[in-house]
Amino acid sequence: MGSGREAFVAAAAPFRKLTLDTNIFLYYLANQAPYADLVSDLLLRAIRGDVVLELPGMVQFELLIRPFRSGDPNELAVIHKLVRDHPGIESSSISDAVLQLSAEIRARTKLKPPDALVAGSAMVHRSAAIVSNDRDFYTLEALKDVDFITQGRRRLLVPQLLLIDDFADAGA
Amino acid sequence: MSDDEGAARELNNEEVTRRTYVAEARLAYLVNDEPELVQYVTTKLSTKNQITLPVAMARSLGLAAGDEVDLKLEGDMIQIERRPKTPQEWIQRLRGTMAHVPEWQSKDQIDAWTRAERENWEREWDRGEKPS
Repeated sequence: MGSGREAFVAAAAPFRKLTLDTNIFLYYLANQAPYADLVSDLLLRAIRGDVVLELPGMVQFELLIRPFRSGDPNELAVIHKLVRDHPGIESSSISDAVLQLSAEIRARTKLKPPDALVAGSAMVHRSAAIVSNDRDFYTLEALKDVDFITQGRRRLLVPQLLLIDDFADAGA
Repeated sequence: MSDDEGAARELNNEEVTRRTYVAEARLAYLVNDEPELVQYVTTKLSTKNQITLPVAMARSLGLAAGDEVDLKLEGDMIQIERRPKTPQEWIQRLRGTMAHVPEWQSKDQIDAWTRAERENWEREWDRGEKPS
């Protein structure tokens, strides 16, 4: 096991719930080494019940775009299996709570709307970290001292960012 | 012989044929005699909507009694797929299944694809009311 892969396993180990961004699932589905190995490690932990991986509604939306563009039923079946039938993966919908909080996150950080929806979903579902390759999520740190209007002026657990590029020699 | 007797005899012959087939399959299974792999077979739906998989087909998927299978309806076909049994099989089930997508041939391409999808939202948002 390469040092990056070990470091990633160690970085993710303390968390019992992680939210995964779209590109993380795509590395795995498209088998892009070495990132697919990192995602496989996470999935193995999830299958064994050591961690729950949240798949936000916004991510499901993006994963479905390609199969609908191609019109390939096999591609659609792959995404449905991932979203609806994979142990350890918890698919969440874009609920009213997610919408409300995501709008507030967007207003406070100017994160892109899809990023805000991923972040909102992570926070509503109490994920401790977001696994992504999008540095924009670092702006969430600014929310640590915010009393959220949508939450009755309460503070929320702000997820950390696990940037997969930080483990660039992963799996080598 | 009346029509009723004829129909009863025909039914009886069908039952004998079915029992023979089941017995042969069971024997082949017990003596571990690998039956010839068949890709197409006709089987009959029972009154409980059950079918019998030929031994060779079940073996080729590594299926054993109690295993779960997924059924997928597609047009006038029903596909049967064995469900993964181990964590490693679960991982291999979907890994690389989208490796054929031209826009996802590298990590950078995947990042660019995702970024483009999201920046489209941003541009559309900005055409409306840009946050001050």
